[in-house]
Amino acid sequence: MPQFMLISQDSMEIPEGFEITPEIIQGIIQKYNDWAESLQKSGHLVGLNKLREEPGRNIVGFGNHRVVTDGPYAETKEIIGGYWIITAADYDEAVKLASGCPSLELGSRVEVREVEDMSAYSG
Amino acid sequence: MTDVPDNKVSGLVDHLFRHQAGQMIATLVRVFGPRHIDLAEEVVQEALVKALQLWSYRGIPDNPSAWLIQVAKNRALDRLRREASLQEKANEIVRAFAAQEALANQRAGAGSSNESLDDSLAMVFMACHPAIAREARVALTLKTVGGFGTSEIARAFLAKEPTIAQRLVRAKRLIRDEGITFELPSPKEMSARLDSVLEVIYLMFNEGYAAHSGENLVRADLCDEAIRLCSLVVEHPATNLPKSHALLSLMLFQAARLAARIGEGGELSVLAEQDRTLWDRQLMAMGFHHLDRSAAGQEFTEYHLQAAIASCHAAATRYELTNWEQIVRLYDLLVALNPSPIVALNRAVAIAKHRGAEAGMREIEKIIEHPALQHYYLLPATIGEFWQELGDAEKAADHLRQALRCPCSEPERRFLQKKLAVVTNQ
Repeated sequence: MPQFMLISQDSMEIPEGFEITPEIIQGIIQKYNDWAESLQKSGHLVGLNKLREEPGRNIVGFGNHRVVTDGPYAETKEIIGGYWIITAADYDEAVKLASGCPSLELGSRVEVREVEDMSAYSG
Repeated sequence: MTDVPDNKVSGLVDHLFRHQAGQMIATLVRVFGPRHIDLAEEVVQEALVKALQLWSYRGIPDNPSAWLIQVAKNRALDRLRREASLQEKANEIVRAFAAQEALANQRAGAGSSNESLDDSLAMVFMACHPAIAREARVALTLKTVGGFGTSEIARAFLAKEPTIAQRLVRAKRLIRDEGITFELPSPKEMSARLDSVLEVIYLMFNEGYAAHSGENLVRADLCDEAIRLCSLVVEHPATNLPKSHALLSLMLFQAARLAARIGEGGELSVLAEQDRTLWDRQLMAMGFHHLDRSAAGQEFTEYHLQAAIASCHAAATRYELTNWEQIVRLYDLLVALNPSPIVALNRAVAIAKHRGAEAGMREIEKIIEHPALQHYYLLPATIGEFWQELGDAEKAADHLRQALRCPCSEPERRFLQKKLAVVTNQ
């Protein structure tokens, strides 16, 4: 079964005038957990990872030159928050499953990418 | 890559974040001092956001409370390192949060840490300090003790968010400027200071109860929060006074009837019409328990009388079994204690039930001119009901129409319309 990576590009900005109360925070967490749980129960969820909430480092190279900067997201308002790996028959199913991701309710973008099948190499 | 988290039967306790936020803010205010409430709120908010970022992916930890406390502690220590004026408090933070964590860990057991209870109550007394404007006390209590957001408080009070925000800012400034301290009042001041706390709790409850329609959940939350706070008050030996039990009893009786207060058509359902099988037996039993406890001392408050009246209704398994004679007696005492026209109006209703509509009407005549009742829908509605009972459908309809012109909530309006339809069809 093909695997897909769902990459969540989270917006780092809370919309102006929007207060994120303890109750709202709890509600969002609950939604993520319900979503992940449903993927898990249906056997679609392979794994997931959360990246730390910091810009990290960005290396730019050319030839022998290396330039390390903070980033890559220091100047943009979006950051990859984390990713999930799921199994799905095809892009249609993967997109359908990914559409339930609560990040989308918060204005994030979820990138869906099929993972290259490497099984031919390991034989 | 991380394996799929071991999702337990996932789900967080209702309002965990709210309650945990309130408790952590109280602990931090004790350590930082009342002038740094904002700082305490920020630290707690950061801890909650951290949970949001992590738990969303990794699932809910085994002991969510202990996790939050741990993160809040680390955030607070970070802040201390940056704020020179607070630097000596590090040990205190570690100790204060250790106590909270111990509580979180043993939450399943019956034991409770007195320190956390002390902190929460000290916070309540600070937020309800008589120097703070009355309408700000409720908002500040909800914000700092209850963990409510400004937007939620605004929705609950049908007020604009900036209005509530401004009230909160002013109240906090006052705490700073007046040097209001974070501690339980001395035994000498206790009774008077407790009155202010009970009043705030009762206002909070009524705000939630008055227009409770089942549609606005935030307002129902106000009732829950008021009962939770009053439970803290009766739990602490310093505030465990008979009047605290009386207020708790009153609110429990009223909360027990919440589910029955709205009829199938979304109209307010009055006592006579309520499906009493919907009353919450457990809450009523607790109401009776605290009513018993309230009878211990010499002090006799309005809460005692109102709780006693509520208990008469609770004791009647059918409306016809209501002991109106006893209720009238209690209202006589209540009017003596609080000669408000609204109490007098309620007494008139009880008298009408006990001795007939004519007797009720005579009581109404004594208060009909009172300025406070001129736009109160229940005055004409009550008169209309009396006329209906006396067989004058026309006068009954007139008064019900008059009631409909007064400001009232949607369920109340539906209730009046239903009544008017009955009267005009007779």
